[in-house]
Amino acid sequence: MGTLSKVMYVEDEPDIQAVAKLALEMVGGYTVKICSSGDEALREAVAFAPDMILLDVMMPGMDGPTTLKALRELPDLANTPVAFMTAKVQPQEVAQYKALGALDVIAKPFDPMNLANQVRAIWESGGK
Amino acid sequence: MSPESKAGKGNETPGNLDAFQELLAAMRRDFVGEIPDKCFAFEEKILQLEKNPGDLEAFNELYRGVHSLKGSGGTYGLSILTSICHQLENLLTEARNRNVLGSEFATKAFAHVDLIRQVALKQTDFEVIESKLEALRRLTLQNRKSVLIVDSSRLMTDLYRKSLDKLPLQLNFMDSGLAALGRLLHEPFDLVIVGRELKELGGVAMMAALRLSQIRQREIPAILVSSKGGGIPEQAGFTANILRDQYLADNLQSVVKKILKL
Repeated sequence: MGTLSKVMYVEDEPDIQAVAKLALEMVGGYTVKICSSGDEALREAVAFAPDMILLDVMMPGMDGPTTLKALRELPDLANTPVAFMTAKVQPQEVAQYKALGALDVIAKPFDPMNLANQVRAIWESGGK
Repeated sequence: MSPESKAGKGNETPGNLDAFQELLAAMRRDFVGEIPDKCFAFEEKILQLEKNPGDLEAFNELYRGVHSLKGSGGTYGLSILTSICHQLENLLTEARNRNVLGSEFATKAFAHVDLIRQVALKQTDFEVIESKLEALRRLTLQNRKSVLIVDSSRLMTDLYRKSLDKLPLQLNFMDSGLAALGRLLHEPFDLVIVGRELKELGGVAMMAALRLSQIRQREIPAILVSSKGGGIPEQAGFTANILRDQYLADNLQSVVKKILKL
């Protein structure tokens, strides 16, 4: 089992970016890369080589599910664990996100104190 | 909770938790400090819409701004802000769908923005704001009553819709008992209709938890829809129990009318 150290978070809201970055860095001790759009994530993902990717579902331009599909086409990112972040956590939607290849879904608003632990638990559930 | 108990396994640095909390508090203060500017921007958009209800760009910008504030408010633990923005979002969507983005809409929208501003001014003790929000909700609903329906079956959801469609109701659907409980914490309803088997938390447990809670709506009337009668603990406090049989649609309609005095 490897170590979870690099997390990429794709999110368009500056407020949420700031809180999540701090929470993941200070509480989780991870190295965090924030991308403001799916396009930016696609440009940065290979170089950053994240151990795990968090994707906001509703983003202008390329949304989370579309970004995931595009990421999966990059050989280096084909198997990187992904979790979606969304306020919509209806069961059908969660099932749909998992069918797209996400390990799990983190509900928004997330608890800043607990986000790092949630991310770790999801990552561990993936058996990495 | 001690910093140690919060930290997980592996490469966390628990000593950072206090520093993180302090930073978070500082960021929250900054966020609250920027709310009045956001309110001003919202008001400008509302004015534009009042003058020109067809201004799609103004509508979209306003909607995005409100939606964004809703998310940020939740992240900073200001759930009252989330409630106000959620209600304002509903108002916007409904006004656009019914094509009534004129002055009556503007008055209600301004009142919501005013509540957002009050949150920034007060920051604690939101009871007055909550009751003003409730008054605004009543105004927006006019004579309609608001019903929360929690059932995980799509078939049942369609049936509820058909059964209640003609009544003056605003129907809200959810399929998780746990999520519904969370929503009842922040959003007032006139009636809850629940199925027995729900995602995450069953209907009976959900209602028992609500009745035992300190939530303002803990005494809300509730209808249980299930395939069997009996075996319902008293703590759940159901106003009525309706069987899931061929008479369900008719029975439900008449029970809802009776409870809500329609």
